[in-house]
Amino acid sequence: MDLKAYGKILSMFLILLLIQVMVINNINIGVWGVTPMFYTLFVLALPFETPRWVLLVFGFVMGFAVDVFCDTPGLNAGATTMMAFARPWVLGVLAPRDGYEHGTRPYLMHMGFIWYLYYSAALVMIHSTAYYILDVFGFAHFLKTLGQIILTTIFTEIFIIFSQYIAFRKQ
Amino acid sequence: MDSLFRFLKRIHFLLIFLLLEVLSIVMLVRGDGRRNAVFHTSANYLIGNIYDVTWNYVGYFHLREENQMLMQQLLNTKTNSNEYVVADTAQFHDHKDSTGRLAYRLIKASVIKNSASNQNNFITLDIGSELGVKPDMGIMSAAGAAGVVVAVSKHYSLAISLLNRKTGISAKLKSSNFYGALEWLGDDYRYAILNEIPNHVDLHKGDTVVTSGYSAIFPPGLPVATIEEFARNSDDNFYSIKVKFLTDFKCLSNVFVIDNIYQQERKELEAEETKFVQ
Repeated sequence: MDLKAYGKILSMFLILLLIQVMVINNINIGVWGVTPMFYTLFVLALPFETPRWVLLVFGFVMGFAVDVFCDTPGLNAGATTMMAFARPWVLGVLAPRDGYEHGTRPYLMHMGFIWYLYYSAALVMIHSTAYYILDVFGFAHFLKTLGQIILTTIFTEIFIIFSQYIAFRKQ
Repeated sequence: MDSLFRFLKRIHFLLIFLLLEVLSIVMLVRGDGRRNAVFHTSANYLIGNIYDVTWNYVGYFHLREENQMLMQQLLNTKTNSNEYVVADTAQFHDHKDSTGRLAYRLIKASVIKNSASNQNNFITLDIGSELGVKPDMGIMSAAGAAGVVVAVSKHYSLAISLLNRKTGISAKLKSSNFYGALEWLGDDYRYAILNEIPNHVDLHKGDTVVTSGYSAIFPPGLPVATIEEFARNSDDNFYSIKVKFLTDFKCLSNVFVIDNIYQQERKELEAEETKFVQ
């Protein structure tokens, strides 16, 4: 990855952070106050060839930046690190027979709807599971936590899939 | 030595992962709760400003609910002037205690950030130490008690919401004055439980629960919740009571900060207690 690629990643970081804290954090759906975690798109959209340790560090920094705005020290950071840790494994499971073609990106337009749905849903669900388990710090209110995980995954997915049609087109 | 490096290189991914995860958990454990306000950053100048800008737009979405509540409050004021309500619209409002002395002062504030979805929820207000806000002041909405200030900066202040697993407030029944602890269980943002009310008290659905005034944060008699359900426990002598918050934490936008003028004096006096407890 060259300098230009990192510049792109930095601008994506800032844009997603602003969208998350200024717009999406105001959405609270239902009795449980479910908020879509749109910023997780950052970890999803990093290029295939991103070194694995860079993935972890970027994931942590993204989560931490959201934490700073939400007064939740470590909560988003921990969940996003967990998601970044799981990404190579999910990519491995979903890999085409000949591996990922050079020059493709993990976007819906490159990889197809079904692949992208599996990929994003798996990672977003890992993220919200980690988030809510860290939040209650255990398994109290099990049904509530389970409900929150499922609803957060669904609402986050809606935003992420939409974003793919709006901003991540093929050049 | 060489093989050690090779081993570290092989497991570097796992090592970095564990390191970052442990770091997150340490922050999570140390950072919340009211005594440790190190990470309470949303009261910081830059972040407060960003939320201020957002609130300028988002604030409009809650106007309808807020208006309805204000109309209801106005109605209450007209029909029952003895209730603890704020009737005028000036910046500062005052409240006298039973001896006619000025004991509580109310400072008007806007909520610029609020949450109801976590286990420990916080509220950020648009005023800070410049207008006299200090930690340990209570916060009330037009409907009732809403939170307690935990940290202040010059222009912003951060309060712990009543939707919080760490702190309960001392509350009593308005009709009979029996007191207990009001606690949020972390599930539904509309409901809490009231503990320690003995079995023999006469309860009715819809009874008002008010602050006891024992904690020097809230004045006595400030409405908090109404009784939704109650049941007698067979294994101890206390009721289990489910109460509904009067404040709607999902549409909180205008609040008052309650300044207990003699809080310091009272705390100092009550600290003497320890001398007599052996």
